[in-house]
Amino acid sequence: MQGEILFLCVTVVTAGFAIAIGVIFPALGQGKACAKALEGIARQPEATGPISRTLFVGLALLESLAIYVLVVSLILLFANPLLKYVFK
Amino acid sequence: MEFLTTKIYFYLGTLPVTKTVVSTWLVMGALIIASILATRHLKFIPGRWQNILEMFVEGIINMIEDMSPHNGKQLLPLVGALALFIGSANLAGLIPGLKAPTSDFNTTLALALVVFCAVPYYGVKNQGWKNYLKVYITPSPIMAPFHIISEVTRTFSLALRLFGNILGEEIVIAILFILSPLIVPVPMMLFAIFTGVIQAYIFTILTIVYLSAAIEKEDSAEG
Amino acid sequence: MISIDRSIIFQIINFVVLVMLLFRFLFKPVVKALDNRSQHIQDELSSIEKAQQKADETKKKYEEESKMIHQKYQEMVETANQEAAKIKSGIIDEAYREGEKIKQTHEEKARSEIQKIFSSLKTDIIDISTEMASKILSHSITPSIQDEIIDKMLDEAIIRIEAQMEVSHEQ
Repeated sequence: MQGEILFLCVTVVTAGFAIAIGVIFPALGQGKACAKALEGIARQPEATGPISRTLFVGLALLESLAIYVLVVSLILLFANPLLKYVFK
Repeated sequence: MEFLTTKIYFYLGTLPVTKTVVSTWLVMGALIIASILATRHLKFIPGRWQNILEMFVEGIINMIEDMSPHNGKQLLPLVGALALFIGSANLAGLIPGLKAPTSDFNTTLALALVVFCAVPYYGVKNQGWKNYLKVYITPSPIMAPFHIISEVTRTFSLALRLFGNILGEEIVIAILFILSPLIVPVPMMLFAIFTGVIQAYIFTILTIVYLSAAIEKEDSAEG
Repeated sequence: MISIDRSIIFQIINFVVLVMLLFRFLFKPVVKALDNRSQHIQDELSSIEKAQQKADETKKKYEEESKMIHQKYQEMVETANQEAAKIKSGIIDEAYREGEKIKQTHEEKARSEIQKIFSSLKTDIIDISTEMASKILSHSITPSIQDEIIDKMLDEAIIRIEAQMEVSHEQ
């Protein structure tokens, strides 16, 4: 039983750390993208439409990285495929 | 954590009819009935509802033609259906008793697979087999596996992005609901409306990017 | 729902059916309506353009006509002016000639009158002076001196009368 509990603990801790670390860098990237887009809009207010459209697409592409992490940690927590080998 | 398992109502042959499938049917039915009602009396001079309808359709056509000119009418059925379905499916999750069909990975993967199949379909239809397949071996035949990998991964990323966003939103709302069911989830639900619309927009525009890259004689975009 | 199961087949079929139905019930009619409207607008615009062209042509025609009429009018005015000038100069010439004639006849008359007056004056003066001289000199001068004096006086009188005549002529 000890091994199984250890497995669960490691899974939960890994999921938490995965979210914590995996969210930092997409957040930084998104912040940078937003800052640049704002600069661009401030410099050229007439280009607001194209800039914000591109910004949204870019943010979605960046956000999908964080979403991958979320999905992986969700799988680890709730649909871990290895569980059936641990709990026979 | 009932929101992470899907209730299976019954089996149709060997295929499970889950809650997601039933919600999809409901959303589909609502969309089709609404569109039949909306297009029943199309007048030459539009009224208010017809104006909104035409604005939506023309907006999608303009969105497509920004990316690939002169293909608006051709891509409109698929792209418009994607936008309408994803948007209303995302918002359906806010209705009590219904489940957002897009918070099920099967739905989003199905949509992404349809896009995945539509890319070569439109590519071949518009520039023929030879020209379409030529894209895969440019700049050299060594790149062919990478092109294929990129197409597969972008399909999965398309599916996962939508799924993860909507599911994450639902989980946040559910957790807030468990903590305090009265007023606290309301701001998050308002934010969920925003996220749902934005995600529908993103899915649509990425689909347009992929399709227009296949139609025009260019290298397909990464995603 | 995180894992993939067989309901994905349902979802694919659902979505394909939805695309078809939405195309049939939503996008086809709306696109048709939009096309109809843009076609109608196009037709209207082209008909407006045609009418505009027609109006332009008519305008041009009328402008040309009015130009022609104006030219004709100008010509008529010019010929009338020329005629008037001709008539005017003719009248002036005639008047001038007549004036000249009148002037000449008057001058001639005046001259003959002056001549008449002059000759009558001459005879009068000769008579008077002869009479005066004979009266004055009858008792103190010899006939030869008398003749001399008379001649002298006559000459003087003639010169004076001629001068007088000149003055009157000038007047």
